[in-house]
Formats: sequence, structure tokens, C-alpha cells
Amino acid sequence: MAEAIRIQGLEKSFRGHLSIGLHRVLKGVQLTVPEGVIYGFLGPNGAGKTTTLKLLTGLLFPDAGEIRIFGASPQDLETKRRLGFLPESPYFYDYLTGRELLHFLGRLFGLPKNELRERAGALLATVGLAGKGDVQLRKYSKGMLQRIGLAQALLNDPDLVVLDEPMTGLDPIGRREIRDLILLLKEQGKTVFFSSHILADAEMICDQVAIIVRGQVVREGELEALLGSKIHFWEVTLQGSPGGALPPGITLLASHGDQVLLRVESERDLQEILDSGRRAGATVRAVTPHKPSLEDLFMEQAAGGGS
Amino acid sequence: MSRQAPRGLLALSQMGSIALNTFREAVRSRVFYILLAFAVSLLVFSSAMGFLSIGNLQRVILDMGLSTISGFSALTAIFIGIGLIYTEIERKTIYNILSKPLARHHFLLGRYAGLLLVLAVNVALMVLVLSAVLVYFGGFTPQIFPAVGYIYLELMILTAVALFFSSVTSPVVSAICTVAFYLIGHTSSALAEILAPQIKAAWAKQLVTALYHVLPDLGILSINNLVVHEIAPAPGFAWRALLYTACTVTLLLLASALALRRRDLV
Amino acid sequence: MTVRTAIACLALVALLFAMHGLHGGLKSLYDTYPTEFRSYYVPSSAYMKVASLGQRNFLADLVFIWSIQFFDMYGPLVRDTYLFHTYDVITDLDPRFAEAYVFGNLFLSLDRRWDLVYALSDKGLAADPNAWIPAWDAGSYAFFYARDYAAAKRYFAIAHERNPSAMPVQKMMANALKYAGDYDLALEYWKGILRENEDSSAPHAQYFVIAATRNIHDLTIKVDLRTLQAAVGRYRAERGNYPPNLDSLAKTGYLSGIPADPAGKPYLYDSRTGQVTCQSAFKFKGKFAQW
Repeated sequence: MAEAIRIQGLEKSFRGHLSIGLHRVLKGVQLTVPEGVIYGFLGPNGAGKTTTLKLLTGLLFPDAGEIRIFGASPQDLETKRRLGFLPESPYFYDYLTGRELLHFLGRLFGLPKNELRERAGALLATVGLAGKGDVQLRKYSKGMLQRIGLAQALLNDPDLVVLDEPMTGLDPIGRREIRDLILLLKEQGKTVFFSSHILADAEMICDQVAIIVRGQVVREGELEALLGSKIHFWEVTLQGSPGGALPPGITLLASHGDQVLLRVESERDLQEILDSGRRAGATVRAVTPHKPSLEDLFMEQAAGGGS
Repeated sequence: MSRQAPRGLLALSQMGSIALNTFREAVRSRVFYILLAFAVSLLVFSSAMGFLSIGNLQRVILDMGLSTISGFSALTAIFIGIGLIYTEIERKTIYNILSKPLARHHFLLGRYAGLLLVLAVNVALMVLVLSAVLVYFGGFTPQIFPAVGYIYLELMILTAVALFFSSVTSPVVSAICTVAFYLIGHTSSALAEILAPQIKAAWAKQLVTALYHVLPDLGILSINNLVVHEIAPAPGFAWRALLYTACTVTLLLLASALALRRRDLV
Repeated sequence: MTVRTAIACLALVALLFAMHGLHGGLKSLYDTYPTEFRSYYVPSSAYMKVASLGQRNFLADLVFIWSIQFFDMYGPLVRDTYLFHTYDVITDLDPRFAEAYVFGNLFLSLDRRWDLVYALSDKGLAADPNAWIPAWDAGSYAFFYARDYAAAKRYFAIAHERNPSAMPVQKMMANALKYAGDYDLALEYWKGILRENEDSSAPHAQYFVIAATRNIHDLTIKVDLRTLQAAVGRYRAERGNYPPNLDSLAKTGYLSGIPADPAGKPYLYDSRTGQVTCQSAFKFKGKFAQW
């Protein structure tokens, strides 16, 4: 499969305040994004996510390493033509209305006025700002700004959409809408590369992820592969008595009335508690397997001090 | 993707969009209106100044009028110019623009053209007011239009300077540097004619003269003095002035483009 | 209003009074300085040129307006130090500022500083090769006030050269020459003035005609008297005694002919003293009418 993005050995440092000291942000980032996937770029604050995204869009220049977008350099104007970018906490010209902003930025792509007008209208509807197109941006809420930012990222019908924290500032409904939109983009054959620290959303829609900690990518690959299919533990809800003392490997998490919530570590323990519970006359209310979540993985990597 | 316009035309259209946007941004800023209001009031007040002098000198209105137009448009050029690039970076509005297929130097040129447009409107309004004052109080001469034209040339240079500093440093430092440039530009000729003859050592005299030739001389473009005394500028002044402005502006824009070229937009 | 705010307000008022009082104190100190130099200072031309930031004309105007408000408010010491300097600065900023030269001369003339009047006017003449008014101005001061007819002559000559058609200039030139003793040249001038105004219907033409006629009359007498007297002197020097009569001057070749006075009467000659006089009256009375 062709590669939308290929980053190798990327390094970037910044001079400190008043040119004192050197702050190394990226220490050799490596990742590959195939075409047509939704790729999550995850990491704690300060890990270098935004820096990487700015390097991708040609706003920064790498100190070392290589970035290839559809096989070309991010500095090329042709590359930018196929790219859509939503910056973190986007700022715009306050005095413009949403529609005016889209018109202005759309003209930079050379889109003819009629087509631009239609497209602006369609995009406003797509991001859920249908009635707000003629309101000045200074009156937009954070969530609305996020949406208009997304709209301008899609103006040129890009093949690669790069989003920096697209879920920020949105309520759960908004986040759902953005998730749906991203899935829609994938259906249209686009590649979506976004950074986030809302892991639940990432887990729901990403095909592949990379986890960056302290300037280096520590885990990368298909989500399923990373998380594994191994079941971590079970949570069992019994109504009635579990039947005797709990064996090791089973912990009582909570009890309410005559219901108990147990955490069961292994499959063998599971069989045991189900048998003993049944023997004691208890009813099994729920058995929930827990696979490792992205959050667990994330915590493990972030805390483990990234190698 | 929809059909693409030819490369050159697209670049022009991009610069046009940026220029118009810059214009819009400037005419919505308070600074622009405050300076314009001040200038217009001064222009009207200049008529009163004429009464103060013996014989109700017409030349006072003209002198004050031209000086006001020159001074206040310079202020406008500086105030708006120093923020042209830097505030874009500071306020991160530039991320949206430079992530689009727009070459950085085209963006720069667009900003420059936008500010020139703002100044043109500014100057046009002021010269209209001055004309009205002169017609009403007497002393109108159509020579004020070429005079203002040359003032505009000086503004073009000043704007390019402000743009250059805006591309390299913060608005505060830009302001200081651009104002310093304005001061040097207007005093260098005076210093050369006063200072140089007083220097005894030949090498020092050479140095000062050389410095004078390198540093910009903004005063050289002004014909205000000539207009007041109804003397026409020498033939050949016009094209030389235009060429001088063109060279200086090109130099500065080139420097700005180079400065912005590899700049990290943090 | 809380107590704190009330105290703050009181403190504010108290400070205002204190400020006012202190200001009064400072001002009274200021009053002990000699009146003369209190607030009159004009920097040098060099400084003004640099400080004008390219707006030299405008600065010249401002200094000019300021100076004419204050020129008579200051005592002789200040005027002595700064008056010429002020107009020197104004004219350095704008060398073609005609009014500055005129009013500068006016104020300088009040102090009878003719040397400075001439200096300022020379500057104006040098700055603009076409300007004739500074010459006219200086010449007038020289003629009427300084009674420096040599200077008047010099300046009117320049004025005439730069503005040949101005009749008043010609007239003043002619007068200056007259008073300076250049009778021949003066006569030429007056004849020219008469010629130009004889047939003119311009408003003051008749005035010039009258003045010219009278001057020609008197100057002809003066020139004749001088010529005759000089011839008598030469006769005496060469022959040792005065000629018996005027005709003998012609006979002996000292003169080509003996003129009559403008009224047609012969000139009177006293062979004992050798004095030549005119029997017709001069048109102009007073000191000039003496020979």
C-alpha cells in the first residue's frame, strides 16, 4: 500500500528563552502512515505532538531526519495542495465571519468563486455550523472555532487531513459528530492523521496509532496488534453469596445489597468462582471481560519513562 | 481537485486575497482611525495657523498640511507595518495561511501590497481635506498632488522597512528600529552637509560621506519646499526618484523574504 | 463609602494642595532669574536642520510665527544675542523665505543694527538669484535711516539689475546716486525715468514725471557746475590764475562749450574767487541745494 506519511529519524530542537540553552523536543521520531487509514498520534502534553504536526505541514524545518508526504517534501506547494490542516486551538481573524474566512482561505487554493461559495456552504453544514456562517468569528465559542477550523481544513478536498487535537473544546455530542466525520473522510478514501489525548475517541476510530513520549515514538502499529487480544481480567457480578472465602486471584471490588462485584484475574479462577457461586445458589448477573485499553497502554508507556 | 488556474495567475490571485485581507484588517483597527482623525484635525487647524503670522501667510497652511500628511501617514505605516508579519506569527493566524499552497514570499508581497493600499486611501483622504482647506482659505496649487505623490514614494520605502523588521523581530523592537530608520533617513542629509565639512581627518570625512551614501536618505524624495516656492522639480527628478524607490523597496522585500524563508513558525 | 476610601480621597485632595503649593514655590524661584533669558532660546541652525526631520519649511514657519509674537517682549540683551540668530536660523531652514528677510530687517532696524540688516539681506540675495526685495529693503534702510548712501547705491544697483522694470527701484537708485555724489549717473537714471513715464498712463506715472523733471533740472545744474568748476581748477593749476570769464575756458580749450543753466540763463562766475554759481534757483531746497 502506498504511504501517505513517512517519517524517519526526525529531530528538532528549540533555543531556549533569550537563546540560552537548547531544548530538544524531538529525538528521532519514526512512523509510517499508510494511505486510507485513520491514524492516531497519541502522547502526553509536551511529548512533541504539535511540533511533529507543524513539521508535517511545513511550518517548521527539521534539524535532522526526513519527512515524506505522498513521497514528496512537506515544503512543496503541490504537497500542501493535497493537505488539510487543523492547528491546535485555531486562531483566526476575529472580524471575519465564518463564511468570509472560508472564502478567503479557499481563494488561496485558487478555487473559483462559484465553486467556493457552494463548497463553503456545504462544509458549514457538514461541521454543524449551518446557521452560523454569517456570525463574526470573535463571537464563536471554542467548540464553534474548532468546527470552523475543521471546515477550512477540508476546503480543498484534501487527500491527507492532519488534525491537531480535533476533539478539544467539544461536548460529547460534538465529539461524536467529529468522530463520525473522520470515519466519513476515511470512507471517502482520505487518510486522517490526528493527534489527541482523548484516548477513548482514538480507540474508537483509529486503525493505527503511534504513542510518542518525550520526543520519541515508543509504540507504533495497528491498534489491535498493540492492545493484543489477550483478556486481562474479568469483572463478575453475582447476586447472592459467592460461596465461601474468596480464593487468591479474586478480589471483592464492591457490594451492594445482596450483589457483589468481583475482579477475577485468570480463566481458571473464573471457572472456580462460577462453580462455587452456583453451588451456593447465587445467580450470575454479569461476566465482563476486560482487554487492555489504550489508556492502560498509554499509562504504562508514559509512566515507564519511554525508552 | 477542480481545474487549476495557471501558476502565475494563481500567485497573483493569492497575493490579491492576502492584500485585501490586510486592507480589511487595517481599516478595522482603531489605530488607523485615530491617526486619520488626528491628521484631519491638524489639517483643518492649519488654517488657523495661517492667521497667526504676519500677513496671513498662505504658505503656513501648505507647509503644515504637507508636513501633517507626511508625518501621520508615516506613523500609520509604522504602526500597522510593524505588526504585519509578527502578529500573524504571535496570534498563530499564520498557521492557517502558510499550511496552504502559498509560497512564503507571496504572502509577504500580499501583506506589503495590502498596507500600500491602506496608505493610499489614507493619503488620498488627507490630500482631499487639504485641498478643501486650501481652496477655502486660498493658496490652492495643483502642485500638492505631485508633492503628495513623492510623499507616497517615501512611504513605500518606510513600509518595506517596517515589513522587514516585522519579519525578524517582535513589534516593540520593530517599532524602535523602524522609527530609528525614519530618523536616520531624515537626518542623514543634514548630518552629511553639517558634519562632514567639520571633520578634519580625510579618512573620517570619507567614512561619513560613504555612510551617508549607504544609509537611506528619505528627505531626498521630498519636493515640499519646492512646492511652497512654486518651483518645479528639475526634469529627470521624477524617473530618478521612482527608480530609487523601486531599488530600495526591492532590496528590502528581498531581505524580508530571505528572513522569512527558513524561519521556524513556532 | 468605606473609611479606607474616604481616607484615600482626603489624601488625594491634600496631595493636590501640596502640589499646588510646591508649584507656586518653584515658580517664585523661577521669577528670580533675570527676565531677559527666561524663555527665549533658539538652537543653532545645524540642530534645527537635523531636528526638523525633513520638514524644514514647516519648522521655519513655526519659528517665524513664534518669533514675531515675541520680538518686542524682550530686553536689549536678549535681542542683541538672539534676534539676528533667530532669523539666521529661519533663513537657514528655508533660504527662500522672503517674509523672514523682510521682518528680520524690520526688527533689526529698530535696534539700528544696520550691519546685521545688511548681513541678513546679503544672505537673502545670495540664496535666491532672482530675489530683489532684500536689496530694495536693505537699500531703503541704508538710504532713509542709516544715511549710508554708498551702501544704498550698492543695494539699489542690485535691485535694479534683478528687477529692471520696477520704477520705484529706479527712482531710489537715482536718489541714492544723487546723495552719494554720482551726479552724472544719477542724471542718466532720471532721464531714463522721465523717458519711461512721459507717455505712460500708469497710476503713478505723473508722480515720476514730476520728480524726474525736478531732479533733472537740479542735477543738470550740479553736473554743469562741477564740470565748470573742475575746468576752472585745471586752468588755475596750469596757468597760475583764475580765468577772466567762463568763455575763456572754451577759447583756451579746457571745455568744448559753455552750457547755460536749465532756465537758459548763463552761469555766474566770480573771477576773484574762481567760484561758479547758478543764478536760477534749485528746485529742491535745503542742504542739497548748496554748492
